[in-house]
Amino acid sequence: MEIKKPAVAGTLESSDCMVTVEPGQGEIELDLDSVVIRQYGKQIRKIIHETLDRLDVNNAKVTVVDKGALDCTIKARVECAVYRSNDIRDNLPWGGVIR
Amino acid sequence: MPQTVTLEQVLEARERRALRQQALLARYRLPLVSFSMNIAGPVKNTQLIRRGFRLGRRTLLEHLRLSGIHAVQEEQTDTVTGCETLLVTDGEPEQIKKIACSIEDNAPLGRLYDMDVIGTDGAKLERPEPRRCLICGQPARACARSRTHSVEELQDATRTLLKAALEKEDAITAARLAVQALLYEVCVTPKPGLVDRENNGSHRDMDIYTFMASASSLWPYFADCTQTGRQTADRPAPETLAALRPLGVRAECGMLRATGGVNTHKGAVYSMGLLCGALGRLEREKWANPAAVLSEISAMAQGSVERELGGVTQESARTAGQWLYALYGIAGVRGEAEKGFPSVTVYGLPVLEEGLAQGKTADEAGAAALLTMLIHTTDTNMAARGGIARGQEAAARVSTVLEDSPYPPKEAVEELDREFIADNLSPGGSADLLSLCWMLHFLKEEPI
Repeated sequence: MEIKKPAVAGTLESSDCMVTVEPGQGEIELDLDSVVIRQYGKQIRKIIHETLDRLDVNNAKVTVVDKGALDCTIKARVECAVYRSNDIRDNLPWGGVIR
Repeated sequence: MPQTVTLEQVLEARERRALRQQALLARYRLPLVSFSMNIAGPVKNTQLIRRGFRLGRRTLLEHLRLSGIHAVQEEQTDTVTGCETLLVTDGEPEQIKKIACSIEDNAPLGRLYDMDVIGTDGAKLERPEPRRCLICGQPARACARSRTHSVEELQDATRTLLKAALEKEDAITAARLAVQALLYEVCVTPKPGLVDRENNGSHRDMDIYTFMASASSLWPYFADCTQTGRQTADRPAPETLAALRPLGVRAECGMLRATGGVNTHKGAVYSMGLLCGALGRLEREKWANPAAVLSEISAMAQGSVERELGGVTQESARTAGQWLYALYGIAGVRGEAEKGFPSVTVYGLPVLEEGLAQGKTADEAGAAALLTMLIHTTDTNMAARGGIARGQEAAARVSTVLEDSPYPPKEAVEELDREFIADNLSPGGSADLLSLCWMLHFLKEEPI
């Protein structure tokens, strides 16, 4: 999937994260800020990359501000931001491409 | 069955909340408090959770008001994803954050409260100390991220915390209103033959201060009755009454200690204790419904006349109540309780509340309620002090006064007072019923 325009998903509440995707410069550029970066930074990066891979996103600038979200939340927020950048807003295919 | 929510619903609710926050910030340019409950698992909204939320909201508003901060605007939502409120306030964000953190850290349900403070720039203020885990007390962030505790464990801890805190809150509310009701009863002036603010009626061993001391001593008893009612709520109603009995004995001892040996509230210990026990058995939402409260009392008191008075003979009677039952078959307060205090529902409470609604004072409406119950019950105190015949005669005399006006003028009640005092009459049983009327009235007025 192509990142056509900037899009945001999520909030800065505790146990949530805010994901911003923007058109990239030929690769995935990930900027991660997390309240649990010391213990879980690696794991969070992994889940973000996996999610982007599955959506076939390979050219994007991705900014994630994490407030202690669970993996499933991070995954859902990344997916939602990618879909929104493609103007898919309703009936997100949670059960399809998104697993 | 409580409704469950999906992750998507929760995430969507958070985004919608963020949007509402932004809209309010844009419109008012004032700091916001965003309060929601922190509930683990897929069930985010139950009656128990909602009550916890309401308690938190009230606490927040009260604490803000103490610091001179007011809610300029409020948006509340109550959906399957949970209860939340957004408060637009006129205070300084840092001060508001301090108040919010103090509630989160100190209130009985504080660990379940999420009180975010958002400055006019849209940024959430950070708390100085991390939140603590509900279960292990470690920083909550780490426990949540690593799912250290199972959802079941968290749900159990949440339910236990909510139940205990609300049980205590309810007991405090019931006890406060019960004592208030006793104090209102004694303060209603004039009352024939009874202690009031003007005189001691037909009593020589007590005055209004004795009643103050006595009512104060009963506060913990009423709280205990309510908690006992709650703890025995799943058992048959008469078992609650049985569980209240030892508390009542202790309360009477405490009363005698507080009054220097004078029996001021013996009847109230029974009837108001029973009422508080009934409140404990009922959901908080039903407290404002007198019919529900009184029918619960009736269920609790079933069989108590037969059990307590059944075998009593003139020879074995030791109390005034036993003696009257043995002699005349007057079942007194136990009989009234078994029937769910019909004199309160049918006569006392309507007269009290109609009077207050018409703008009568507490004295006028209270005295009218007392007098109407006096003529519609056999007041065992009247009978015990003056004999059955004199009691009936006095009741007939009160009837003629009430025929002129259901809310007799002060002078007419003062005249009755003089007559009752001359004959050493005191309608103590009706006075206890008046306390019940006040209590049921206060329960209707009390916000949940």
